Amino acid sequence: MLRLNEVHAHYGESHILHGVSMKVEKGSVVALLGRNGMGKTTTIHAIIGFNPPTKGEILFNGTNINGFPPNKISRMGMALVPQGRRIFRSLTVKENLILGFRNNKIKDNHNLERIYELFPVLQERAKQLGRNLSGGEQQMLAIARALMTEPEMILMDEPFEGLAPTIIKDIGLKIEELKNSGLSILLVEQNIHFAAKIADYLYIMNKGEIVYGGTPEQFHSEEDQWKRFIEI
Amino acid sequence: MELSEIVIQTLNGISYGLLLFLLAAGLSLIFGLMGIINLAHGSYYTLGAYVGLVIIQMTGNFFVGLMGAAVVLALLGIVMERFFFRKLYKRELDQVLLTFGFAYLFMDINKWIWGGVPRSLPKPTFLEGSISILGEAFPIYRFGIIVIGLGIAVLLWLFLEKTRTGVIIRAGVDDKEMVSGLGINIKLYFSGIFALGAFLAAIGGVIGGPIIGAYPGLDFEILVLALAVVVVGGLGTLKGAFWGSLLIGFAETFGKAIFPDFAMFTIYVTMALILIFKPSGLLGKEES
Repeated sequence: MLRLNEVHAHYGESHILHGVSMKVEKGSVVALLGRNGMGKTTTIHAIIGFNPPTKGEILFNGTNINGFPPNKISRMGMALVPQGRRIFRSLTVKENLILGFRNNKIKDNHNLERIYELFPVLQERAKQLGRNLSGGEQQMLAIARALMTEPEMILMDEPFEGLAPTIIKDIGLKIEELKNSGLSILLVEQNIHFAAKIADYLYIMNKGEIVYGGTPEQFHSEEDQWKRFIEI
Repeated sequence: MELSEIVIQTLNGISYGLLLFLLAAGLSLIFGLMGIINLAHGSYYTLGAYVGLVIIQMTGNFFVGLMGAAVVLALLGIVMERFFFRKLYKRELDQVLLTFGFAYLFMDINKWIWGGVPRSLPKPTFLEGSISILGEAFPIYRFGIIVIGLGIAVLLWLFLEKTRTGVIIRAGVDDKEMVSGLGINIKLYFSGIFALGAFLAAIGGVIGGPIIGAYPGLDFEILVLALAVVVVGGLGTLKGAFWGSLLIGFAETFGKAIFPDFAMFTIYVTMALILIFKPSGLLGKEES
């Protein structure tokens, strides 16, 4: 589904990614772990096209999308739940959602009904402004907004950041539900316990390179190989 | 001040404020969506007045002149966006130089074509004359400005609040990168919003023409007022542009009536007070 081959990326003058190669199989959840500042978000931004790679290939369903604008990548079936949620603060919840909707007719939208079934709280708050939602509600809105584009794959950048434990559990269950529905997910995460529980494969990133990759079983038995790259 | 004078000046303030709104709305939306402070925006107003005058003289119809000037200026806005500003997104200093350069260029072109003598635009005949308010004469035309200004404000509000395009524009003001991440080509909307801004400014120039006229230097005078509105109201919101325009309109008209020698002073005092107590403007976006 998604494959990165020797991807390099820069932010301004600084060279952040040094030849990242990884893959996400169709219908699987892949976790990307690592300390802050190691290049996880840069990887996500390279894939969605916010900060296109300076070198290397990003193959999405066989097409090299390196250099495509984000709107084109989104329309190919890739969606983003960004770090910090980045919901549109001056728009209502419903307006946030319909932005992702491809068909321009806002009425008779089955997709919106499905989203409201998955996140009933968003229907209750449909007319409230994004800025007035709690952190957990904003996170649900960010996930729901991504789902409105009917993606084949979702990039989730630290969806639990700054949330209370009970809300983390709720959102974790939603992500598992999405996994079970067959969506492919690339999950950037700090919480390795949750990542190891939900992911089919885990990568660890350090200083712009992938330094470890393994299944959850390998991950548990090979702690000595990755422990120094992560703070527990 | 007597009551009649207060009423008259209030009406003057509203009509002047609504004229400023036509200018400030576009300036504010262009900044909000694209991050460009368009210092040539006052030129759209003045050019609109001149082009409107030419068309009115040719056709003898005020409203044909109004729409004609608005369409011509909208096309100019599209050309400027596509061939110049599009190359300079995120390069603020270059933008300032370019838009300032355009402002001088347009001022000289205006002088070259229409000369240095102030021109006045004719009023539509049915809005000539005046009515008596508490014994004082008040020109009917100013009511016309109020009606047109409020009408356009309502239409703009409906467009931004109730249409999908409006939702996309407001979302773009919040976070345009994220809008593109949802599959929307936000750049397609940039030309449109530039065209809309120039269109509204030209309408302002034509309907302001019968009372303010058109003359060299007007572009810079009106630009300063529009910038004051945007500072007072807050950048990037229509509501901010609306209330900011009325406030500056009042400051200008009451300032001129009460302290004739210090009219600009009242505007800058208003601006300074707002900046001290609410640096992001009355309805500006809070920094997140």
